[in-house]
Amino acid sequence: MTLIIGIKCSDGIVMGADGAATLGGGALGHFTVRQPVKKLAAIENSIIAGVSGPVGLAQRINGVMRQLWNSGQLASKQSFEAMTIIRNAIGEYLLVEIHYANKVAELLGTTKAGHSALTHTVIAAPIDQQLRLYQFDCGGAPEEATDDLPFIAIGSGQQLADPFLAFLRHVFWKDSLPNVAKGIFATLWSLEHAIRTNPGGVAEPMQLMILSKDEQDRCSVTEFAEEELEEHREAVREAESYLARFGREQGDAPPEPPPA
Amino acid sequence: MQYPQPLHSRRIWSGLTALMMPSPKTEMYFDENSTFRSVDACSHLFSSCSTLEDNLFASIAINRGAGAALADALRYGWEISSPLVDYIRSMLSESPTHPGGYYIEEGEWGGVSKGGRDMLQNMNRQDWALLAVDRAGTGGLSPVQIQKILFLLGKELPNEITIPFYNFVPHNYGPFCKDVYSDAERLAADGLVAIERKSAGYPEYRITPPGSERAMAVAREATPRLLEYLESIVGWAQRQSFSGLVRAIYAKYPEFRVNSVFND
Repeated sequence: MTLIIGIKCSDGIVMGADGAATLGGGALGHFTVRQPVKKLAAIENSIIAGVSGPVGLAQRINGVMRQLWNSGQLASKQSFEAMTIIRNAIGEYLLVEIHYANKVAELLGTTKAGHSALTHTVIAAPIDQQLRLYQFDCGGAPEEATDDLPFIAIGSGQQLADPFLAFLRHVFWKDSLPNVAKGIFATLWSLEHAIRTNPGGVAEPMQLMILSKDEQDRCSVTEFAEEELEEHREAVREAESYLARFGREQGDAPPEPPPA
Repeated sequence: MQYPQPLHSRRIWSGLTALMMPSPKTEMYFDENSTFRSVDACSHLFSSCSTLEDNLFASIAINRGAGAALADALRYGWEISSPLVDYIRSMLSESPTHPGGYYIEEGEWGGVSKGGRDMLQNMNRQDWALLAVDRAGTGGLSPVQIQKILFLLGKELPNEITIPFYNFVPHNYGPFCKDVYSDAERLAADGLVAIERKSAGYPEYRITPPGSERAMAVAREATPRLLEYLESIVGWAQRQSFSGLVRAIYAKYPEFRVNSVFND
């Protein structure tokens, strides 16, 4: 069970993830325990990778991304070329797992077999001199976040996070990209919402990372410490409190309609 | 000049008593307890005094230690004259056991120098967080409140706090310093502050009975002006909404707005 969120911002990329790993599943058919885990990986201080699904696949995808970056295969590429390169590189691993899952499905059924094969990936990386946000589906098919579709959610919490992110976007940054600060606020609120309302499996501790550029155009990945999120949590509570007070009488007496 | 006359008289008397005591020592320094040592130094010290405030300072330094003298100098707004400052500085820099130890910067006596702040030896950075939480009473403080209260304290009364103080940087809701939280955690580990994380999801900081006792002791080291200001900003911060508090800080310190969530 996972929720990973990515938001393309005007001054960087924000990614957030819940922190619950559920063990078991697969051939066992049921989950055994839940453990805190970090689902976002900072790769060479230049890429953030978040993978839903089997941890082993996430480890391999992170390794592939590190290899692509260090070998310079993503350098001087346009965005669509980079998408294809990454797709081909991680697709090799994804398709192998799907192939074997098909075999296992004959014994265990498709649902159980799928647990060990199906994964989605979110990648934030500097490509073609811009900070970009991509998602890759279970077959490796890529899609880039744009100014019109600036957020991505993957994992079992996606069904909760997508409409909530759309609501936040409509309210707070309808006509433009948010800045990183607003992106963090929206990511944290969406994760909190999913953690509160999901039937189980998406849980604290949260993890938040930022991909940004400095004044010299150098990229870096910053992981937010838990204490840096405290004021955001307080801000979320106040925002919810505003909504809860909507329509209630506050302060001055309501205006009287003019007399007949 | 404001100070309690009876105490003043007693201190002067104690100082004179000390001067009359013979001593073979010629070494001059403030010892590890910040107590002024050496009778010879005492006589030189007094000979360098040219005002009543100088004499008060010297006598308290001799009897209760340099930290107490500095605390009183701050508390009552004494202005120490240059010859005395020069003398103490030269004397301490020559000390064989405390070379380059405590000293007082000339011209900083409107408040207190770095050396002077160091001499407020009983206070450390986390004591300011403790005092703030203590002044909040049963209402406690939220993260944004404790951050902004300590920020205001450092900004508004820079000469009356110990150094190193908290180093605030512009964050998503204005001035922010991680050390505030780590100090609060340390205070909690010592049983002086209780940190409760309720359904709201963020922690709330409340003073404990041992914390309240410690805060009383710490308050003795702080100036009345600082304590009065702290009391007022804690009450003020508690009355503000989250956004009201943040916006008030932005209005006065717009340079801390650069990484803000808020638009205007």
